[in-house]
Amino acid sequence: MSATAAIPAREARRWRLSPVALRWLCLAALLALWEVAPRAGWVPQVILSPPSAALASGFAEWDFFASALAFTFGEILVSLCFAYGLGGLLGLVIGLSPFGRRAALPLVSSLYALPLVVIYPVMTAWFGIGPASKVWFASLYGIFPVILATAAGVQLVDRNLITMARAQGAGFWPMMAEVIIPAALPAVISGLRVGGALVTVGVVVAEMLASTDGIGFLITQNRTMFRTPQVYFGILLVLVLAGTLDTLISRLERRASRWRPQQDNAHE
Amino acid sequence: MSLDLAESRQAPSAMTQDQPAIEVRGITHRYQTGRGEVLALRDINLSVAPGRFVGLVGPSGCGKSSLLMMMAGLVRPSEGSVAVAGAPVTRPAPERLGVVFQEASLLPWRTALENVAFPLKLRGVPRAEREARAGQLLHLVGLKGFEHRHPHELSGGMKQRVAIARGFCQDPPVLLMDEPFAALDEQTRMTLGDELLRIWDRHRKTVVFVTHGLTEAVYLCDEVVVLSGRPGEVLARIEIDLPRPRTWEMMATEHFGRLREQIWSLIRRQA
Repeated sequence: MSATAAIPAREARRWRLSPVALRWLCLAALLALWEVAPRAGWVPQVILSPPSAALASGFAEWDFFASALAFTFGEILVSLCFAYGLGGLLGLVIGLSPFGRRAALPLVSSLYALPLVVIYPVMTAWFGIGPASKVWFASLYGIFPVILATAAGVQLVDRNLITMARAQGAGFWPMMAEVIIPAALPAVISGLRVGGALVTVGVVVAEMLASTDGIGFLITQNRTMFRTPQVYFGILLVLVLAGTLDTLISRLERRASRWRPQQDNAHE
Repeated sequence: MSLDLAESRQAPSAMTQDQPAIEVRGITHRYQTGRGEVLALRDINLSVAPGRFVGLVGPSGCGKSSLLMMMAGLVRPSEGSVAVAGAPVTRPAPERLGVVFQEASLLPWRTALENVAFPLKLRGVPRAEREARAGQLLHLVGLKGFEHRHPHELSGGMKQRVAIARGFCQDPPVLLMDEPFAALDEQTRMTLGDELLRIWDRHRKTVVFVTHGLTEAVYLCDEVVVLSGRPGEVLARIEIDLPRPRTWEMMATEHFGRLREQIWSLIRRQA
């Protein structure tokens, strides 16, 4: 009798909220609040424009936004090439030798901790307010986590694997290609992720400070003209851009660590 | 099993019967630490005839692993030299010397098959050819069907089998093994020991086997070289005159016990 009575209680408890469902629920609630708050008059619409209004007015000027988006995207792409390429290379060189690590790592991590935005005005003086100054600034802004992660990844490669490959007569390049780089890859990619986010921030912030084109420029311009829906549309576009980049990198991350034991899929 | 190792490219033609497979001449090794210079090995002379299975034992820290690394060309001794089949070893020579480490040291992002084929990949052997050979070797070590598993999907014993297969991959005349079974549980260790003997019996490579297991040393080897505590010197070379093939029943014999006791008393005096 007691056994049968216990069953309904268990059935009731079976309805459980999954973490993923909760995550999407929170997002939906936030969106709903964003839509309702300005419409209900809790917040003035000139401060917070509802997402529907932002989308409507944004798409009405789509050509305008699209060209700015392409411009910003181009700047981000070029900056990524510099931050990733140069950062990866420097990280490799620094991480490979104890000398390099001791000479360079404290410097790199200190620079990483500085608010580098302060030097952006100087950069506009050097490189003008066109895309060159954005690329310089964003590359510099994003390069430090890439250097640090690559150096750490290289340093932490299992010594036993290196000895094994040496015993098999592996020279410098085969050692790099077959052991060091594949072993360091997961750490490097997490650096690319942070670096990619910083590059995006760097480009957009630089555009907001001094520019003639790009999404950041549009956001600032529309804000000074109190065209709030367009401001929020610009913000949405930046979010989409950053989100796409992050998704691409986490795909890469999963590909690169397929050989690893399956762990809790927190990013699923 | 149709594996024919004699057919492979590096036939040990340079090796004649009277020439030792490994010759260690006057190796002395010192290294620097924060507290000054340490004399690790002193005047080691050792000669191993082709096809012999030789054990290297001694108290921990006696430099037996270092000596093996010097034979492998991975560590340069302060004084003295190593020659394999008459030719000096000054750097790793994988076509002459296979090395199996205590840690299986498999590339975790490569499958078992690719790990075994790794030495051949470094030599530029085409994929189809090297993987065919790696497949045969995995079969030889009893891992048929596990070719496409990654190391994290294999047990400790299986990983070490892969590492042994890799050691055999280039068919070197000499196999150097640095406590290859030390990280395994006793049952796996004994099974793998038997497997190793079975493979060795078919291909008669020269094996130098560093171990701290005395039973293992007596069971596997033709001869056990006992090193002293630091600085390591050759204390004795004990001939293990048990018949082959070795069987587990031999462990219970008085003769086996005496040989083991003889080695132990030499080491115990050092500790």
